[in-house]
Amino acid sequence: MKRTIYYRVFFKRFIYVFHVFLGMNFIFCFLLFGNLRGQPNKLYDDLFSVSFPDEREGWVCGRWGTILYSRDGGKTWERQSSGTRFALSSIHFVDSKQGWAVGDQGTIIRTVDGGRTWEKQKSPISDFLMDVFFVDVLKGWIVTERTTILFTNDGGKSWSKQFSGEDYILKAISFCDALHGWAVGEYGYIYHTSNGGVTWEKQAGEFRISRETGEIIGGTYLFDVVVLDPKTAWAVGIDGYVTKTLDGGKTWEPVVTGARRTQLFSITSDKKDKIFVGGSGTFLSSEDSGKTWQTPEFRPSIKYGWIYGLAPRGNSGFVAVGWRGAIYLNSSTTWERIKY
Amino acid sequence: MVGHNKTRLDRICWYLVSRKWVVLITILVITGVFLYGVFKIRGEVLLHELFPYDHPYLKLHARFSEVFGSGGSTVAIAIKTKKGDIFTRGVLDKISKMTEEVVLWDEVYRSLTVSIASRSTKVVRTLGKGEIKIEPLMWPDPPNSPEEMALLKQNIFSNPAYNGTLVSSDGTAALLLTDFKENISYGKAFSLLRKLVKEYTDEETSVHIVGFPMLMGWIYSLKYQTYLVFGISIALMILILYIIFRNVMGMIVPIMDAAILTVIGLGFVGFTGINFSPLLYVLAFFVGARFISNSVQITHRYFEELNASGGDRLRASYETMRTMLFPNWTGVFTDAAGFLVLSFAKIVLMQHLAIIMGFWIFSTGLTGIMVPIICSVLPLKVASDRYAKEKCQMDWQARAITKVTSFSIGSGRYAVGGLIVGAMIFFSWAISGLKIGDPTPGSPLLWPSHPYNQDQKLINHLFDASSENLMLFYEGEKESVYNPAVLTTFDAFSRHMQERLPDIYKSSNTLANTVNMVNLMLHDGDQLWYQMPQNALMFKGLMGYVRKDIDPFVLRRFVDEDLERAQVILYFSDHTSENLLRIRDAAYEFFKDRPMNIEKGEFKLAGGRIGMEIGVNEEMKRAHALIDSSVLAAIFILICISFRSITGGLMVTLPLIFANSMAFAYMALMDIGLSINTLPIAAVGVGVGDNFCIYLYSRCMEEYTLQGGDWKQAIIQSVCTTGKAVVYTGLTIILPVLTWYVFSDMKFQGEMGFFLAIILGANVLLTLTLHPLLIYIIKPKFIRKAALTADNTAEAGVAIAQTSS
Repeated sequence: MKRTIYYRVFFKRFIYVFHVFLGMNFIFCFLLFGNLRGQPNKLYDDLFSVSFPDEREGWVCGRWGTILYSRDGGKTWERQSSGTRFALSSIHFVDSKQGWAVGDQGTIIRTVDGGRTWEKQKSPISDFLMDVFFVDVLKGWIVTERTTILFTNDGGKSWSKQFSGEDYILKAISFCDALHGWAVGEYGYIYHTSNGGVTWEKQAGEFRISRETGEIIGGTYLFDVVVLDPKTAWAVGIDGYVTKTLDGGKTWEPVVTGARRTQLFSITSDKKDKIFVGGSGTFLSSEDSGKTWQTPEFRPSIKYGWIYGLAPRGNSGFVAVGWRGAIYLNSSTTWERIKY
Repeated sequence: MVGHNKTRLDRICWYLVSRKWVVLITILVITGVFLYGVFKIRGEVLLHELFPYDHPYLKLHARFSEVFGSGGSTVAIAIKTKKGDIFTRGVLDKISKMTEEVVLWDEVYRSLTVSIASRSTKVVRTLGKGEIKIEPLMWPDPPNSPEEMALLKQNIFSNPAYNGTLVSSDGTAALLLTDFKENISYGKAFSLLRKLVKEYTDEETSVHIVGFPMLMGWIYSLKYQTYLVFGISIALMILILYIIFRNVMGMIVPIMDAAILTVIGLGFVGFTGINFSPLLYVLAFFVGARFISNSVQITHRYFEELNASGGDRLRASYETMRTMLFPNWTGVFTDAAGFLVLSFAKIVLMQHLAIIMGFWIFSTGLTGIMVPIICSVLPLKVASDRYAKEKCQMDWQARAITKVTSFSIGSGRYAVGGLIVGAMIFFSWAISGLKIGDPTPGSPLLWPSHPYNQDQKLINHLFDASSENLMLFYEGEKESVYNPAVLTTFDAFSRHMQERLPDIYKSSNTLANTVNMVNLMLHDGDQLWYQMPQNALMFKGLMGYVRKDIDPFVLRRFVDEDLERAQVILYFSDHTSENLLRIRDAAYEFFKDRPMNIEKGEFKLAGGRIGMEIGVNEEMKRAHALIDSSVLAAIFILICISFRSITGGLMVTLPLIFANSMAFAYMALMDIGLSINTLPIAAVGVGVGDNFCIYLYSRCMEEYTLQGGDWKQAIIQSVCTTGKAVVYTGLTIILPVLTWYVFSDMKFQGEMGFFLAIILGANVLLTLTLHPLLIYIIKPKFIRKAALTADNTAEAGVAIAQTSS
């Protein structure tokens, strides 16, 4: 009798220990797998454009329909679903809710809720759309790969061809107000409007084939433009080329920066004295409206990379984006890459 | 009366015993013939033997490997600097020289040999005036001037196709990828690769190599160490035998038996020409241990009989043979079933194993004849008093053993039952985590500290390319690769895999990389255009550039001459079974909302090393269930026939499930996946466990009569005789098997040794606890029934012996 009780106790204890052991195993497995699932995201796509309507909120777009969103001035980023797989070349927000992005195959997408949802807008052409610029929530322009400028007056519900020129790539468009703007592109072509795009006037650029040699003779390819006021605009292009106008585009003067002869993809300004230029393995900054130029330090270096998109973050600084998902934020003299 | 009762088996036994010299010489002659075969053993592994020949992935892979080369035996060779980066003339020269050397090997596919120094690695240069040119990146010579060196760096690091893939992002290492042809033996590949390591390792650089041929090479290089471990474990076995039997005969007989059977088995392997891989040595050792196990049982019995017959060697020999032949052969048949069912796996290696191991195990059937005869011809003295049946309880070991059994069938039976049920629940839970394939990122065959696994770790850390590749193929009409849908689908596929598997995806390689580069250059270096053009006309234009500037030999890596077939190669960081499934699922998910058939052709999954491994794992999964259930079914049927009882069949088979659950639980907990290497051992484990209890049941049949129908006494008596022999046998095998765990550099062998020790240990324990308990509770009819026959045959045996003497 005593023995039986002893075994019962033993058996009970065994079952108890067994269950504790099982429980510990489950906890262990949970911790292990929880850890495995929490590995960092390795998906770093090339980024082409950035837009910060205020100091805190900003959006970035890039290859494979990538859109990233930051709510803390660019320190942390999260992915948004753009609904497209095509490369998005440009993104523009007019406020913290409303923005547009454009890209390959005539892709135009728009959000009215800060990027939580993106809806497609109909483009009259299916070319690669290169840049988008809105002066307010209704009025906006897009430049495309075949010298076409699209225009909307209703926030993109309908887009129409405002201008069609020769068959070259227009890379960038920028306005300082609803009337004055410039569009730039291949072979140094520069178009200007002072009436909100009713008319576009060619100010620079040429392309012809020499009869004598059969060689192409063309202007310097321009990748980006930034307009500071109706008279002043800056543009950048290949071979380290920087140019500016101070007279509304009547004359465009080359600017000596000491830059390497490489592609300069992007230019931005605080509309006062600061100007930043980013490109292939190079970056330039000026604090005195372009009189002197420096090459700020990037951590890590962009020597073998490139910066394609630049924008101010309200009044708190600037952001640069580029190859393999690189996002840099500036502090006084250095640019630090953000880990996300 | 006597004449009526003797069975045919008795007559045969007597016939053999009385002509012992003839039998012995015949066996030795046969052994001599097989000895000749031993020297013909082939020790090479060919890739195609390791994979399921019938699987669609393997068929697909075989067909496309004729076009693009295999990808199944890719080798990644990293050359790493010890100080600074690779951009010095000295290091770059080495990379060039090494690439040239490898390209000239007849054993590799030239078109699949790629490094920064190979001709096929291109850079697109702008010549001005809108013209571009596609040129080799660093061929034929490395740069001379600092400017050229800076340009090379620029070309490599700014190109996503090279940065991190052919050169590590920190610039301290370069990668050379190559592919061995299918018919090359791994021994040959390994010696070439080791030569490379020796040649290019100095105070400046080190060389690290991974890939299946290298792994197999390492395993083969451990062959001699394996022989040493073999030797140590055999020596230990002999020592244990001596300690147990305390006489030379008890030591010599099992070893002689094992030696003869080993020669016969290996000779058979040699004659059939079937390859015998070092991975299987542990299996061979295990078979050898089975020989020992059987012969220890029989030798032990012989000593008992010798004591019973008052030192009459002939009679003892006859009695031993007569009583032990039945359990011996029953065991042989069940063991053989374990091996023969391996042929259900449609993998050449498995089928070869089924043949050679099946034969080998069948040869164990000779033990029942050979051991009693060898015993009877050896004029050695034995301490016969120790083996007196009636005195068995005097021995402290026997006392301990019978105490365990008495406890199990007496007061402790609830504890034993509860423990077994509890353990079974735990095992079932653990087994749910058992994986098919390799659960570890390096090679599970070797310890983590092995140079191979260290190299794997280094390469994984430094590069975005690896030897683990997956290929998506396209096949269609002539020139249909010109359809942009082909390369854009490849591109989208790579992207999809990267998105779905960001933790293991490394990089991809297609013609798209070159097309992208050309597209970029045609747009004045505008990075936005580093992509596949969506426009068909533009795509054709770009392809025209590519075909004009790149020679067909180089293009052959991605598209065939007639533009009918193309491939994309994706690199992943590991091949763990879980990740293989993720890769497969992600690949099919891609094609869920898009057709595999396009206008003029279709896409096909899945090639490369990963496709092949998925194929193996799928076959393993199918074969594993089939093999396991077949082994159990075969054992059940064989035991039912032998004992002429379904209860008997169940009593042997059910505890087997327990023992094997324990072994599989161990595999799951130790993260050993069920692979082509473990399957045979796992399957054989099922077959081995039954042997001990067969001897016990068979002894019980005899003892039941001798003890006058007293179940408890019959069980105790069986346990203190046969049970003791089972413990001895267990010790004789388990301890030497554990030496593999201690001494072998091959993790696989060590762990399998441990695995076998667990199966054996569990079965020894079950023979002393669960089986007596089952007999005691069930009181099976087949033991009672057999008692009558045993009674008669015993008398018959005595009569024959007396007549003949």
